[in-house]
Amino acid sequence: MNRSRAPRATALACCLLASACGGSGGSDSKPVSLRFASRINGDAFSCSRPYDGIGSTFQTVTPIDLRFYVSEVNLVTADGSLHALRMTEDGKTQHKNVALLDFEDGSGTCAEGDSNLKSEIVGTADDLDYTGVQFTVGVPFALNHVDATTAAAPFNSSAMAWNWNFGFKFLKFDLQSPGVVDGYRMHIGSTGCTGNEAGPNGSCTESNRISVSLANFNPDTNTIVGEFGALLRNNDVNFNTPETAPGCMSGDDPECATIFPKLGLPYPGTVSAGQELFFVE
Amino acid sequence: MSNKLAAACLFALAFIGCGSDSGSSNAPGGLELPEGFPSVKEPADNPFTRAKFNLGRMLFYDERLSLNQTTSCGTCHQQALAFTDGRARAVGSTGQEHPRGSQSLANVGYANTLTWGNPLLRRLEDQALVPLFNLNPVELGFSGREADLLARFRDDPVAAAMFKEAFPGQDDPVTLTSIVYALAVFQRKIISGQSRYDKLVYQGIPNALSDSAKRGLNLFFSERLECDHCHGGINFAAPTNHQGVEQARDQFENNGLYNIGGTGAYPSNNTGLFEFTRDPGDMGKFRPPTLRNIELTAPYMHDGSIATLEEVIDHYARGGRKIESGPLAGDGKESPVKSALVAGFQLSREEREDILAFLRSLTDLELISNPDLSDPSP
Repeated sequence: MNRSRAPRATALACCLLASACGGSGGSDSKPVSLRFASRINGDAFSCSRPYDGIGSTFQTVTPIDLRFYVSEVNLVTADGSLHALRMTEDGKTQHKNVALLDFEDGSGTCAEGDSNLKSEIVGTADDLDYTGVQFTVGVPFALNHVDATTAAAPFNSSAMAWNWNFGFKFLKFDLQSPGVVDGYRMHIGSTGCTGNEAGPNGSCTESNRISVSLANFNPDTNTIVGEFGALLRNNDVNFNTPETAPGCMSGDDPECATIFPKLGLPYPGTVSAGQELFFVE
Repeated sequence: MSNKLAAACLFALAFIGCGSDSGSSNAPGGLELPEGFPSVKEPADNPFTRAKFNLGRMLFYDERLSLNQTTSCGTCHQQALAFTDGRARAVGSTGQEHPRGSQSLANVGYANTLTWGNPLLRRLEDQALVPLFNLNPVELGFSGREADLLARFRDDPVAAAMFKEAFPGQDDPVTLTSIVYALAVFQRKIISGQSRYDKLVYQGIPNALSDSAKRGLNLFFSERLECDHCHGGINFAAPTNHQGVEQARDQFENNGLYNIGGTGAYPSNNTGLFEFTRDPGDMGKFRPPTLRNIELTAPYMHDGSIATLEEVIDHYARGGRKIESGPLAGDGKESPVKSALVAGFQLSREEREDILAFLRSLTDLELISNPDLSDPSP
């Protein structure tokens, strides 16, 4: 039986290409890192220093914690199509395409963490040029209701677990202000959750996952900056409504009324133009 | 008209023989199931062993379970007060006040849901994580610091040996899972079934209750008062889960304590089941807790806002509480979301005394002095 040479040569070339790619599915992929930076009113977040001029009454605060989960990361090409970032499993900070970013290092006034830091999400994506990025600050529903004592990292963090609610704090941004002894804390997570503790049979009336979509972003040269101090610019961080959680801990906590809209999250009586926490630099 | 006392006895008799351990249940101390009590359901992955019980008991009373080493589970759950703390609202290890009071752990192993108004917490193994890591309020204070918690026990040869004995076959048995599993095994043995009521109904001692208390028992189970519709079963509480029950139903009720603004609203940090379901009909719904040992567990209600048993009876007789002025003002009797079972009733002075006598007969002096449940360290 005659076989032409061309198909065999093509087959050989494809094999070579596939082994050089190292990716599954046959399309080329490349390593991609997303760099994040966290700031309070323009200054980098650090556990070892105070910050002035915070909130509507310009208080001086010291940091306690800053950590947040990132999931559903897609890079965007010029034609608007989405390409998933496949996070590398590292057994510690990235698992099942969810990363826990960690800006506190347990030093100074950060008494609720440890020395580990993480500001970069590492993974692979299609080998293309990207001009934008989309991601969610939050844990997907299917992973949000797990047993935090036995789950794999980063789902076994006691600081991020909302044990009474069987889910996670998606964002934990906690400060110490002079006027709120218990800490002015921002804990964003799903609320109004029912269903059994196995999770998937339930539902939450407020998902509270923060959707972020950034244009003019090149992962090779740009950084995603989170300006956390600005979230508090309409909050008097020296005051907490009596008999409510210290700071904004989601639900119908009144201090959340001027924070949730800035994250694109619904809160009764407010409208939002989308998240304003993250921008590209 | 059926004799409610006889009905209660027959109902209770149905359980005699269900307990697998009903041997020397009248001896003081010990962990045997009381006469007539059904067995506690255990999760398949955490059956009772003596070693786990010993570890759980040690941990329960161990102040190393708080970051600042001032507080243990036993601080808020004191055996002498039927595992409560006598406060309207609990206070954490750093001085932060909880919106609600510490619940009695008597018979907690039978509870279908745990804590005052949470439909998600069903296993003791899960509940223990809440006081350990809570930030609102800070209770034991270990949020983010579990490595320090485990190091305390790993570095203590006595404790480490207890972990090893309780969880054999693990390279490192000192884990969070071990801690909460051991605590759960201990708590499942906090069983209260030796009150005068139990002696009458389950142990067949005819004069265990005074005549007044017997009249009070009949009133309690009567259609006029209907106390047992919320405080029923062997635990005088929401429906119990035990071996033989496939799945008890949840029960959360609004008993008309608040009606802020006439909408039935409760204070914003104590909306009960509404906090989870967001259903306006669930505003102010809480799980009816056990009335066993109730004379030891004042003050009353989820926020301790009713100080005495007499006032509790008056509250239910009225059919809801009226707060005359201030930010919590409103008449709970008129609440649109109050349970239909809290309809109010007429009660004579003597009948009030009879009910109080009955409620006092639910006190179990053996529970509060059982050496097997007490603090192992002097």
